[in-house]
Amino acid sequence: MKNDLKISHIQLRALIISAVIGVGIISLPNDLANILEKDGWILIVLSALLIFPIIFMINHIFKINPGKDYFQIGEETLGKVIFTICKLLFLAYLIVYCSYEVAILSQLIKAFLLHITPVEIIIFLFVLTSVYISSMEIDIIARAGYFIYPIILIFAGIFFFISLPTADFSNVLPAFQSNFKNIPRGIVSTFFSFTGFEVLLFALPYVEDKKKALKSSMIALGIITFIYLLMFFTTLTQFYLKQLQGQNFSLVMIAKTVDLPGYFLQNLDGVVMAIWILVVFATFAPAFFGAGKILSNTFRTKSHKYFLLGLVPVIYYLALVPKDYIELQRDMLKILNILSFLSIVVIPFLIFIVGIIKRRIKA
Amino acid sequence: MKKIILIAVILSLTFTTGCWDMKEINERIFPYSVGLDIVDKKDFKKGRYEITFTYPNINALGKQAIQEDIVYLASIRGNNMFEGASNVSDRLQKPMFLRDLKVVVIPESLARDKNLIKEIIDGLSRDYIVNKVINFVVVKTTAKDFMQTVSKSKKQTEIEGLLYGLLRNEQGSTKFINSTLNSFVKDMYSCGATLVPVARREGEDIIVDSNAVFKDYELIGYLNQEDNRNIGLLTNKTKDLSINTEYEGADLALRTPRPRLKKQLIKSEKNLKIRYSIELRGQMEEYILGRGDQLDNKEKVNDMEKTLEKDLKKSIEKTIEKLQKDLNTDTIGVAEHLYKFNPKIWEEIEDDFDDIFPHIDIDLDINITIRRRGLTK
Repeated sequence: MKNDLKISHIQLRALIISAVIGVGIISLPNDLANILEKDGWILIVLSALLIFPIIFMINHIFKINPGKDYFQIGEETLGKVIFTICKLLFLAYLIVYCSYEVAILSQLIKAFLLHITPVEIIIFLFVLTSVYISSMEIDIIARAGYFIYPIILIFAGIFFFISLPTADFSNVLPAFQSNFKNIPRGIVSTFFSFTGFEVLLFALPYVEDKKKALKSSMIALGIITFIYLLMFFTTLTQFYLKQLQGQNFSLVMIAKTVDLPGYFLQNLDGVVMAIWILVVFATFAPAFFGAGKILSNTFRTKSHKYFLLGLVPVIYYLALVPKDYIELQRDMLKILNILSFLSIVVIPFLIFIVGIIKRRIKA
Repeated sequence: MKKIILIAVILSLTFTTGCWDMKEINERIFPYSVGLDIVDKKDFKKGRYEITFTYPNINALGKQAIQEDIVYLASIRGNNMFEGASNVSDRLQKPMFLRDLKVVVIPESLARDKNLIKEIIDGLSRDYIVNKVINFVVVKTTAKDFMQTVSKSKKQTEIEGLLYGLLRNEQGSTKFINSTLNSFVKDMYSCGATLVPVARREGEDIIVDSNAVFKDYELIGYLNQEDNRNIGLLTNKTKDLSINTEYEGADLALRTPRPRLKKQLIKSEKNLKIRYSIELRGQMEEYILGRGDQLDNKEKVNDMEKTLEKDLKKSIEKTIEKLQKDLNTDTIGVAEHLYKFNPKIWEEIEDDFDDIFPHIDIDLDINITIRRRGLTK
C-alpha cells in the first residue's frame, strides 16, 4: 500500500456518485415501470436501503484493519488460495462490467450520433481513451470523478427542467396499484443500477479523514437515490404508463419530445448523448482501474499500467460477443448480475464475518 | 528519434481529420413534411405508397438568394417512409435526413386503414432519428395535391414551413386541437381515441379549422370548430378563449384567458356521474354604447353572466352528446380521470368501457365571471 496517495472525503463522495451512475440511467425508468408500474420508486428506495449495510460492512472491514489495502486484508483473513479465487471472480466481474458498459454505449452512439462509423472503432477508441485515466492511481481517478460529478448533477437537472413545461403531475396517480409480488424480481434488476460503489474497496484505505468517510459514502448513496428518483418521476410525468413501458431508453425519449416555445430546443438527443458519454466514462474508468489493480496484485508487479493495455483486446472482444440486443440486454446482464452479487456482496461479507470470527478466537 | 516520431504523429493527424460520419449541414436535405398516398392495389409492385417530401430550398434563403422557389417537392414510390427517403436519392443530389421532419400529412383514405396507421406510428416511434413531437394533419384530398398547394402558398416561410407553423398553434387557435406523435400515442393508450387536425385549401390559403376523430388508430368521423373549442375547454388545452352571446339585442363578447377545469366523480353506485367544473374569468370585449348604467348594476351583470353560461353550456352539451351517442369516443379524458383518481372503479369497468361511455352522466358546472369591463363605462 502506498502511503503518499490521499483522497479527501468530498472526492470520495464524488467518486462514488460518478462510478455508480452510469450506463443504466437512461433505461432505468422504463425498467422500473415494467416491473412495478407507477410504484417503481419503491424499488429504488429498497435497493438503496439494501446497499446501506454493504457500505457499512466495507467501511468496517477497513476500520478494523487500519493501514492495509483490500488485497492485504483479504489475504490475511481468507487465506491465499481462497482469496485468489475471490480475486478472479472480482476480476471477471469487472471485465464483464466494462464490456457491458462499452457495448451498450457503442450501440447507442452508433444509433444516435455516428451512423456509419463501425461499432468496433467506437469501442476501441473508448477503451483506449480510458486506459489513460485508469493507468493513474486512485487519487487521480477520484479527482476525475470529482470533475464529472457536477456534470452528472447538471445532466439530471437538464432533464428535470426541460420537461417541466410539459409535465403532467397527475400521471403519478394511481399509486400503490401494482403487484407487489414483483418486488424481489425488481430489486435484482435495480441492484445493478447501484453497482459501482465497489470502488470503495480501492479508495477507502487512502481517504484522509477516515471518520468522515462513512458519512460521505452515505451522502453519496443519498444523492444517487435522489437522482434516480428524480429521473423516474420526471419520466413518469411525461409519458403515460403504457407508453413508458413500451420504451427502451426513456431519458433519450424525453430529450426527443422536448418542445419548448421558440423552436430552438428540439431534438436534444445529441446533447444528451454527448453528456452521457462522459457519465459512462466516469463509471468505466474506476472499474477498469480495479481490473488492472487486481492483475498487478496477483502478479506482484509495481504498476498496473501494462495490464490495462493487455485488457483492451479482452474487453473489446467481450463487448462484441453479444450478437443482438437480446443477448446484450438480457443474457449478458444476467451473467453480470450474478457476478456482481458474488463479488461485491458475498466476498466482502465473507471477509467481514471471517474477520470477526478470527478476532473472537484470538480474544 | 523522439522528434521524428513526434513529427510523424503530427503529420498523420492531417490525414485523419473528420470521420465516417462527417457531413456538413448543407450536404443534407432536411424535409419539413412528408405525405403518404396509398396507390391502387394493381400497382403495388413499386411500393404501396406514393410518398411526397417537401424540403426547403437553401438557395432561396438569405438576402442574396439565387432562386425563387422557397420549397421544393419530391415524390417517389415506396413501401414506407424510410424506404421513400432512401429511394428519393435517384432524383436528389444530396441524402435526405429525417431528423427535422415536422409534419406528416395523412390523406383520408389512409386514415381509415387501421393497420397502416399503426405501422406508421410504430415506424416513427421506433426510429432513432425522427423527432417525437412531429405533427399530424389529415387532408381530404390526396397528400400530394395538398402539399403542392402548401408549397406554392404566398404565406410560406423558409425556416419552419407554413404548415408546421400553423399546426404548432402558437397563435392559440381554438378551432383545432393539434396532434403530435407523442400526444397521439399517449391519447391512444389513455382514452383509446385522439383528435388530429384537418387542413383544407381555400383559394390560396391553407385553413385548419376542424379535427378528425381517430378511435383505435382509425378515422371514424369529424368534429367542427365549435366542438373543438368545447373539447379544448373540457381537456384544459385552451389558453385563451373568446365567447359571445346576444344580450337584449346587442352582441356581448367576453375574453377569458386561462380557463380552469376540475373533474370530479360524484355518484358511483348505479350510474357513473362525472362533473366538469369550468371556471372562466374575463374581460368584456364589446357590448353597445349607451348602456353603461347596466354594467353598474350588479343584478344585470349577473344576468349577463348567466346568459353567457347558458349559451356555452348548451354548446358543450351538444358536443358531449355527439361524442357519446354518434362517435362513442372518449376524447374528453373520462377514462383517464377514472384510471388516475378512481382506480378501483376503473378496474371494474375497464373492459367494457366502450359500452359504458355513452351512458355516463356528464354534468356541467360552468361559472363565468366578468372581472373587468374595459377602459370605458
